[in-house]
Amino acid sequence: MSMNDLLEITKANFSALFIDRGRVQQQSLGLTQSGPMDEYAFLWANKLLGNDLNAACIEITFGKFSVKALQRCQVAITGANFNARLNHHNLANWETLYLKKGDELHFDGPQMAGTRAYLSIKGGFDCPKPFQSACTVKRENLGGFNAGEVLQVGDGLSSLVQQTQAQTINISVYPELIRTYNNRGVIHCRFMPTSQWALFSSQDQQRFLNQAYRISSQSDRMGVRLEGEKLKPYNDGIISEGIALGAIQVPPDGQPIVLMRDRQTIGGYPKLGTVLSTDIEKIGQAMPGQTIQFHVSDIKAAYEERIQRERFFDPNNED
Amino acid sequence: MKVSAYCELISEKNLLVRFGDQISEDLLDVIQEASLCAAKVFGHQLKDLVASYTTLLIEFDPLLISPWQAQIAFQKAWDQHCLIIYSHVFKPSQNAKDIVGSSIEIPVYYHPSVAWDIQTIAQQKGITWQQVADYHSQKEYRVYAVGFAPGFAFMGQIDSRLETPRQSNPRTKVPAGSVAISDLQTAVYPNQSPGGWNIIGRSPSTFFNPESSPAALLKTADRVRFKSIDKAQFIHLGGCLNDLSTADDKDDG
Repeated sequence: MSMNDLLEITKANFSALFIDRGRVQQQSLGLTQSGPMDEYAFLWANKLLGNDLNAACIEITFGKFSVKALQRCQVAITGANFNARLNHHNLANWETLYLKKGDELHFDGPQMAGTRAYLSIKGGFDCPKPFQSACTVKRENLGGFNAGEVLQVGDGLSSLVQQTQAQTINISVYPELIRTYNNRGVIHCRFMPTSQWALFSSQDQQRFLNQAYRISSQSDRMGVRLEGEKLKPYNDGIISEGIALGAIQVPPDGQPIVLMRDRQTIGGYPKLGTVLSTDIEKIGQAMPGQTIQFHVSDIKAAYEERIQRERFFDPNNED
Repeated sequence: MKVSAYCELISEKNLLVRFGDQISEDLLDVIQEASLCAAKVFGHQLKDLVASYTTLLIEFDPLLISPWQAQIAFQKAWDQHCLIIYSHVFKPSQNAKDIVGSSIEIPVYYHPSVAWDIQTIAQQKGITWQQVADYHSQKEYRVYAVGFAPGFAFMGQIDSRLETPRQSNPRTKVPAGSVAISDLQTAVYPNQSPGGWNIIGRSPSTFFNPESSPAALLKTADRVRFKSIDKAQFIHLGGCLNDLSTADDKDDG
């Protein structure tokens, strides 16, 4: 704790961590790219405050997280709805908030929609940035206040910039742009088949497209494991190669794994294709046990949506 | 040697280039050359490069270059590179030679007290554990890929007399510096981690340190030799003899 601290963590469930858009140019060292599980919500958390889009935010998984304001500051919350409360007042999500000394912000409602919320602070959190990124990756001992450890009760949080005078006007995301998450329904995800799609029989290709897969509880920021009818590729293994975000690989047990933000840099299992990078966040917000259905798309859609997203969030594009 | 490249867009910002389907030292040099070529073609459009045994994954910025332009740009540049400079006969250029120039010697204490599997392997092969150490330290290896964990370098190929499959039951904790083999590959665990490779020694060297530059001791294409050292040298070089209390922990996963 230091004099500059604006917030203190008063409750944490061992999964709240610093995150930014990812660690770039370091995969040749074997470091994962990392990044936010829900990019859309993460980008909004920064955009709402006029932050650099790569500013460090806190990703809160499954709620049970609280902070207390030690000084006046401005924050924003987006992403999963954990029935956030400011002191005793319920909050709408996807908005900025001015906190004054003593205010408590809770993400601990009994119900939730989505699994990951983002907390940003005006100017971005001041945190260690090993290899130029705030991303916390436990298995690499990188990020956070203690070599890859998640945030703990008692940790103090500060910003890279001085907080301005308290104001009362909060801004929020246009209602039509707010994402709501449903933890019961089927998630629909588009993917582009890649060349190893041909390593699967046409029956297996149909099996993959026609079934709704269950998301296993053995899922994390590295990969989301799916449970369903088994697939059997012609090859059990390929020579290890670099892996794109969203690659759907099939290990010998026949149950696909979608490789998420903290994926390993290289891998040797056959892949069905790549989930569109703008659809990955749907999986990032899904609850274990929820089902997911895949739909064939192509690189044209992947590219157009990526460009659209980058332009939308680009601060130079604002009207 | 023919160095055709098959370029596939695997996402809107990733181009996977395949150079062959057989692991070989020649291909390793080709891929180093291709990394240079990609860096030159894409310049500031380049976001990351992941070289592996037979492939190069190129990540570019789709805001600066479309995936289709990226594919054509690399394909063209590579064809010219091969055609003009090598006349279809591949020789690493001076640049690539500089890249592959690093020769690294790694001290290893090969002793059953820290080499948990060396006696088992010796018994299986009908040789002494000292011979396992000899066979392992007699060869020069190349780094074919880096992955699995920060600074974890996949090196090959070991003496076929030592070929041993991965353990079916990976250990939950392998000490930092453990020198290990799996099939025809060898590697050193940079940090304590879970692992299924067979441990035949321990090195006192530091293999990954975020504070130093470069952070990883080994990079793709490096040439590596292992040098047998005794206990006194191991300790002198900062080696740690302590076995983990959970040394025999096995994980069913």
